[in-house]
Amino acid sequence: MREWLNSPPVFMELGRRSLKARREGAGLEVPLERGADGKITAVSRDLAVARLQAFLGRKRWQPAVRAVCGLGVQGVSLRRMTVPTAAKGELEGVLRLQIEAEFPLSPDSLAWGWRELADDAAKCEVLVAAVRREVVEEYAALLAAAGMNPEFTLSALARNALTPSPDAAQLLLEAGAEGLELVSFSGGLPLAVRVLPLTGPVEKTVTDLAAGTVYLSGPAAETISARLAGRADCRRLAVPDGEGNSAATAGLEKIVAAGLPFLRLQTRTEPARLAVKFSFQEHRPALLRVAGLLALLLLLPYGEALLFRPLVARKIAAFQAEQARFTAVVDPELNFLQSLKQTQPPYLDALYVLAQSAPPGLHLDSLSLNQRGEISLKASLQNGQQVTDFRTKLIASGFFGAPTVEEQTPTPDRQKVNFRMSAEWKPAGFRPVLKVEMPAAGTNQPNPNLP
Amino acid sequence: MPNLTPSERRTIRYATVGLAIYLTLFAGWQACRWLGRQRADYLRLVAQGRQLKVAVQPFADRAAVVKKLMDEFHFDPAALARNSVVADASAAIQKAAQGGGLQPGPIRESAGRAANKELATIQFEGTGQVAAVMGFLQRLPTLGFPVLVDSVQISGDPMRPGQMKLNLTIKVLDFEQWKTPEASHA
Repeated sequence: MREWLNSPPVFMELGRRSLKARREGAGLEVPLERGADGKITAVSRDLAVARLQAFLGRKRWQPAVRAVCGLGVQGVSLRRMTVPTAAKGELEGVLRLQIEAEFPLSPDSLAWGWRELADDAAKCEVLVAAVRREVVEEYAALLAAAGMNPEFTLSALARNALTPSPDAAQLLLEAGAEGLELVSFSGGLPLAVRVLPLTGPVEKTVTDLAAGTVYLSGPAAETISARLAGRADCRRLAVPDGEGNSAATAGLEKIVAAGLPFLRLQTRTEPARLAVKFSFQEHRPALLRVAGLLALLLLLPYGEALLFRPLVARKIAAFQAEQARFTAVVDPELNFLQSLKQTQPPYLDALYVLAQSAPPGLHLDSLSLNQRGEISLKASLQNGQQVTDFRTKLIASGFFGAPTVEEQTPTPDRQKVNFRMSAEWKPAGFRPVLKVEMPAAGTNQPNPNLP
Repeated sequence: MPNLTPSERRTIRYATVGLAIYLTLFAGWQACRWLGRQRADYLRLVAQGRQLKVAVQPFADRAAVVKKLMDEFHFDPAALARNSVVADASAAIQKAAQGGGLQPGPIRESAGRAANKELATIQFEGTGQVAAVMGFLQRLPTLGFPVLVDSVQISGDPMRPGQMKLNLTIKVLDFEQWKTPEASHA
């Protein structure tokens, strides 16, 4: 997906008369026409934009294509500067002050970049490359219109990367149609720059600058090589054939592919630190974590369902079986015991109430009680008043409902009254709860009222 | 395989991408529906479990009541042997009477009425003092058998003053008939 959205970069060599572009084996060379003021004409600019757009084949919704561009050394100033060691964030500010002091133009009027050469505790040696800001901005506007995001460096640095040993002391000579560019290198960094016409005194200049092998490139390399024969160790840079191919584009491709650092020329209209840039690569771990957490949040409820559903189903089935077993065993027992308790007749309570209500001298002949609560009593008392009192007490106890004296007959000698009484105890809930008073120890004597 | 022009290749590439997107969306939709069904089933099961939890909460109370009643009556209905419960109950009644100072008299057993969930009816006659009679009546429900005193008759003994004659009709209940659902709701 990333590769699809971020298409491969374009490697370009920008000259005064033409620009060359290479991308994934395909190439393009577009001539540039300049007006009297030295700027690219509008017609030439539109034509270049159209051809570059066709070359890129970029869709409107795709992001801008990265373009790594090499500039010729004409108009470029190279300076070695020694500045006090500063914090990394402050080095740029220190360099701006130094450029302000050493260059004829202010830093805001330049496109400039630097590379650190040496760094110790007290000072820092830096190579600064600068060119007029208009030069870079003209190319930047053209490339942006074509849908590119350009980065600028020096073509000579890219050519040096093509040599067998970039760190060696050597001279690079680009023999183009516009003239000769001579750049001497040592330790991978440019030491001196010369720009000559094709017919200029190249032999003397090479003799002055050359400290080692001279690497030639460009369309007029053969001619220059012949002129330098016997004066220096001349070799051609190996550049593949094809449209848009040059030593600079090949060198840029090699630098980017190897991930090597290169000197970027930047305009400083706005401080770089104010630019808001989002790099997927830089934030990749955090983005992956966030994506993982979101996915987890989304899938967790479903995972829970898939994981625990069989477990819950088994538990519920076991629970239902236990419930059925419990109901089958305990419910009948509960109903049976509750019924047994509720249907237990209160015989002892009834006898207690009778005993408490009986007046002294009661002679009990027979007493009958049954489960339905019917009581039948046959006894004798001294007189009818006692029978009445007995019945009154039974009524007052609240335990019985409407006791009935079925028969009351005085004995022939008038000493006693025989009577037969019937009653019915009230249903549970309607009769009072009895508070039985237990007799004291040692007084367990038979009730004199009972036979 | 014939050589394809760039246009044909692009068409095939677009078709492949479109087909892949369609299949991915279709499979994703089906997977989402399946996962949704699984989750709905799971939530239904969880709700059912919660209902069961609420439903079984009274079970502990019911078990405690059963235990209390069994302790009160001194027997476990499920442990009673239907064939021997009448004989065992009769023996226990006589033993309790004798142990309490009551002199057992004639004892008659007859088959109980199934409609009343009875196994048998025992007619018991005995003689003893008031305390013995009262104690016997008190101990009867806790003998360890499902017995219910149907009627009590107490009368004086004219031959032995201070003694009472006790005539009891005792029903022995049939627990097996309570196990059927209709009996439980009787």
